[in-house]
Amino acid sequence: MSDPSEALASAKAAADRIVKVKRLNACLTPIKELRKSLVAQASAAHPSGVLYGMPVAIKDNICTLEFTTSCGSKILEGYRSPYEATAVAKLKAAGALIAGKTNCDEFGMGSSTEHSAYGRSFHPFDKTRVPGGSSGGSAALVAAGAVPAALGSETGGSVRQPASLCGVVGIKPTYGRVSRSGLVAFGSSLDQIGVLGRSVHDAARVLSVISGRDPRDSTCEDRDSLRLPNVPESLQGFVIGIPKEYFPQDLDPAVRRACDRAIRLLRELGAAVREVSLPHTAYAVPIYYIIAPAEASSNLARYDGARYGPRFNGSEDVRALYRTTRGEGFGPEVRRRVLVGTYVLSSGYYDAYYRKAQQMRALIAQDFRNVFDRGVDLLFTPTTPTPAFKAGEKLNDPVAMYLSDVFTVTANLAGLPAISVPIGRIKGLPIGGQLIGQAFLEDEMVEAAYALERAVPAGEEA
Amino acid sequence: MTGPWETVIGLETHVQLRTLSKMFCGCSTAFGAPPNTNVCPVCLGLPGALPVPNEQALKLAVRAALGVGCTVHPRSVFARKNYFYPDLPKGYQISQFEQPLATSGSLSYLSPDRGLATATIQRLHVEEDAGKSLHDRFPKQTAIDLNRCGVPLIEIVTGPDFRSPHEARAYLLTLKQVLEYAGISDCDMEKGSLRVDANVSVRRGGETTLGTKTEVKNINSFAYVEKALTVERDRQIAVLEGGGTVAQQTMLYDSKTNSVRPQRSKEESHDYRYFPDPDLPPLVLSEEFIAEQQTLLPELPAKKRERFVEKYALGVTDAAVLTAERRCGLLRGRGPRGGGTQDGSQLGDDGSTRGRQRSRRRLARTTRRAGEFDRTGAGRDREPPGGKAGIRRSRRAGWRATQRGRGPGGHAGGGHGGPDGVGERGALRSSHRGGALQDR
Repeated sequence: MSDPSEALASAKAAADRIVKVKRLNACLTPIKELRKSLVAQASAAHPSGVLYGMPVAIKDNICTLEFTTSCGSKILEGYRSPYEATAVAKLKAAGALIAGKTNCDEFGMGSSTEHSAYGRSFHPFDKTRVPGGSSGGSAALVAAGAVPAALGSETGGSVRQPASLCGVVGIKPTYGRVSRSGLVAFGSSLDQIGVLGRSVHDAARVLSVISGRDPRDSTCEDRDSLRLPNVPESLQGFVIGIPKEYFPQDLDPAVRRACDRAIRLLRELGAAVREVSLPHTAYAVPIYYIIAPAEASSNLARYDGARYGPRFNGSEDVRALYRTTRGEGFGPEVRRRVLVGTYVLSSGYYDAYYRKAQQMRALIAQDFRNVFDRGVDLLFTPTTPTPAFKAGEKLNDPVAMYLSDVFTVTANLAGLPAISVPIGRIKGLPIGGQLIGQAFLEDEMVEAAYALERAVPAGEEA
Repeated sequence: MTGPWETVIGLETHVQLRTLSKMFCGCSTAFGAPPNTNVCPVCLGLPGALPVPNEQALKLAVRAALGVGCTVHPRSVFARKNYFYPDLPKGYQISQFEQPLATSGSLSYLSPDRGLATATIQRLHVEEDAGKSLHDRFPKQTAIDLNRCGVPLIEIVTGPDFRSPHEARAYLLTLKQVLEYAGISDCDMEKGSLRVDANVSVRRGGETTLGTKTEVKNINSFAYVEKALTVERDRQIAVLEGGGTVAQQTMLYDSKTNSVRPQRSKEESHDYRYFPDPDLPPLVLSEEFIAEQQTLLPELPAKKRERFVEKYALGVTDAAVLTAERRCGLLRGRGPRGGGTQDGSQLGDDGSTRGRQRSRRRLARTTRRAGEFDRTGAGRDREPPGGKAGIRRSRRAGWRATQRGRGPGGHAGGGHGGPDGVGERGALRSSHRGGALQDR
């Protein structure tokens, strides 16, 4: 597509589709504003770009010039960034259309999109269930067919988990593959922009565009953008490890069945499959819930009402202004994590919690290196322990909510790329399987995901 | 009860590095710009903006460290110092904590009491400055100017080595001399490019354990260093002689009344919750980079003083006078040319006298002719361009080039200032293109 009228048609069709799925509360941008912007963008888009005319929705914690960036929080209600994220700028340079901002858990903190100040998002197949989170709005929009791809962000699985629950593809790239400039920070050493797509190809080509060096982010690697692999004939030569810690005794039998089927298909495609062990896996969730809140407590200190965002009290006393703005502007989950993070960094506790967690994190990364050093190319695991759960089910049980990230947090802690691909249905609800790759070898991972996607009957009951 | 009291003083000196742009963004460091004009998303701490280190600042910091005899560590770590204050937009200051740039140095200086003495330099680290809170602009309101926010600083911490206020002052003047010699800083206390905090305690003569210390802040000119420390020393002695005990607290010096008052306790007792800044990879400096900075250091005053004593058979004091100001020393070093000594004695003082400016102009003329000035590079950065410095390659963000648009809610942030060209200037090239000569 390089005809301007086609881009315009694409823009209008995207706006129509987004209106149609309004009931999902997935898109936060008012439809009038969205339609107007899409039309304007279509006429200004670069016709030679590889994504020319492709509408891409953006998670609300990624800065855009076109729309507000509220991070699903009251504390940034109506905030307009004076600059845009590098990933968004790259999308636009490739001719993509920025198709609104998607709902998310506040600052990315949650696994159900219930922790949004703008109301929860709904699962596209069952409105009593959650789409997962925190990039739940992006996942729901893609799953409902409103956009072919959307940007999400990950700190502990926030792209892959909703991708699994909504039956779409979710990619979390290697830490440092995509610039974080303009991604509102939650846990800086874990955060990475990811992509949700209706197919591996859609997700991968968007990732390819947004990846690559950026002088505005010191943690972004000085590398070229990702090269898109071809769809392979077979997986001959691939060695796929099955880490036993990801298939515990009490794993949901239907999830196990879906995974077994996918593993069988990988084998039939020619891959050598072998069981491996990542012995420190059990510590991943606890240390994640030390490191991520610690960094969050510092990253979120800037939201104090002094410079931007709403103030919740016109008090003369600056301490009172901080207290009321932060007390009322942040939701309960954010407050909880800021408190936990402040605690674990406090003098006297730093060594016991934060330092120890960082040491454990190194061991988790070492687990992966050990396996990859022994000739394993990729790991296959379930993405989530269950399909989409009921809204409200885990809202008052933070630990249960945290455990829905149990299979995804390790890739963030180790900085590795990972992808979730739909591998079947459980009582009509989608479930994803995960491939974890080696650092900066997204191309191999995508290659295997192409093959798996082709082979697996994702719409069938497991 | 009276007795000979011994004073023990340690100094923490913050020095602004002489760069064109800020520590982690491309904004100008120019002093005196209209409030909130030299700002961008990075130094405003806007959501999603990330720091990128200024390599020129790191070069100057390494030179400073070498100049005070420190060991420069090939690997150091930026850390976040967390606290809430309106002129600290991110809610944390980027500094260094557990792994500073440099440690274990020493600086010899001429003590008025003991002759040649040595101050130990415990550590030297790099950090960014905070903004300014202006309490006197608007009645009953505080205005915030974030122009200074993100300006590169080094902090130089001595051991508890000084035994009197005038000794502390003598050290400070020597430090200033070194930093000016090497083109590291303007060291202008009035402009805040050199700031000093002092840890002060007293003990009975002959005692070996340290007394309880207080921290004296808000000493904002060289002239006040001695006064402030004397006032605090005398206060502590009076307290102890009256049978009381010294409370460990922060004291603010008021130059108008020449007195100190305790800082409100509410403003103190921070737990800064330091942790490594995840936005900045550890700072890894190659041996070549460090060695290169060593070669770019000019002959420092102490060395030159020794040389003068030896070569010209001068007394230590005369040599000290002659080497007090770099260019003066250079001139003298090239042979007698008249007038230099007179200027030199003026320069030996700390004030920026008119005489000094006059002599500077003349000296600059002479030395330009002589060529030595340019060759050694004072006031000018002459490093070859390019990324061979051993720092992870990182180009400076080009906010100015592409980031126009609405400021956040009409607050500061519309103009992402900086001198022209700052935008595309790489961190590696941050000061030598565009000419550091404009750098004052």
